[in-house]
Amino acid sequence: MASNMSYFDRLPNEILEQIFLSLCHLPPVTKTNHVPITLHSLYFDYSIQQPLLKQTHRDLLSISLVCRRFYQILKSPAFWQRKCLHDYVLLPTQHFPSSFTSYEKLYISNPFHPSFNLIKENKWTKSQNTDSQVEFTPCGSNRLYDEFNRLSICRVTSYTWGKFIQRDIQLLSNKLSWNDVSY
Amino acid sequence: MAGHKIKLQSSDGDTFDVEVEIAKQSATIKTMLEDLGMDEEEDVIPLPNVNSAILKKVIQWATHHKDDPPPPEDDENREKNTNDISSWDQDFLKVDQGTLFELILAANYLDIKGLLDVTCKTVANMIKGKTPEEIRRTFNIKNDFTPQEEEQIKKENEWCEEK
Repeated sequence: MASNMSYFDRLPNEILEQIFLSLCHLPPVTKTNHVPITLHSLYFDYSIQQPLLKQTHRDLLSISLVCRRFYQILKSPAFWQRKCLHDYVLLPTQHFPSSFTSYEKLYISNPFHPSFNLIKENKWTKSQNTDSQVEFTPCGSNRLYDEFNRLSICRVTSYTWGKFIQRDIQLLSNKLSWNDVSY
Repeated sequence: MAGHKIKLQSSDGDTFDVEVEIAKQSATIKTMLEDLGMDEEEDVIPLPNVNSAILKKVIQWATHHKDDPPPPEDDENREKNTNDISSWDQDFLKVDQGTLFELILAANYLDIKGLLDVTCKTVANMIKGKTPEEIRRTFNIKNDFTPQEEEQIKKENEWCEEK
């Protein structure tokens, strides 16, 4: 091979794409971090997966700055659509209209993810005179398990009515705007 | 039938006797045998895109993986985690860059999904965590962006920086 050539020059674009698709940071599959959908399809707990998706995205941004050819492959919405499916960000059953192109944004901030939760556990405020506590192992009820087979905590109140509020719930993060999802 | 062998001929003329079941991990060879009605005993299957050294490696890989379950047909259902390369495959792919890329091309030509997956993952792992300049140096890639283009791309990417 000529000294000014790269071995990448010999690979067709579809193989380059496969290399970039297989570059991913995923959590190791454990009994309590994913929900199996089919034999080969699953989704992770989004709060566990999202930091790793951001890390993968950073790696792919680096690659896009290597040369024009890499940039062109990585700027294609079709690549990011495949990447979302490949890395379990979208389920095979989730489809968007053909006009939707923001798959790259969706990759690192996906409000359509099955385990995306708008309500954050540490953001509750309670009204005055509301007496409550959290039981990590429920005492007065049957044990409840979430979709990831983890024991759910319970918020228990006194015998009087209490009110719990969460304000400023962000439907979309600053990564994905209404312009991206309105079609 | 188990034990039956076929002859594979590399681009440089060497022939290799390979068990049919091992050779059939290549969808290309499987198609030649089944659809084109090639006679297993008599015919030599020419593989003009694969040289002897690479064909020998491919046969070594296919022999080790002969009892693996067949990979899923569709891309979305393939194994995904880049860390899940078996230790045998990791040792097998401790080769120079030229050989690794030749193996990717051979796996693609011979349509051996498992080998293509594992070689692509190996290259992906070589890229992981590197800066653009480190990637260029590792793979001898020329930076063909103008400084203005580079600046433009960095601007395009500002939306995803942590706020």
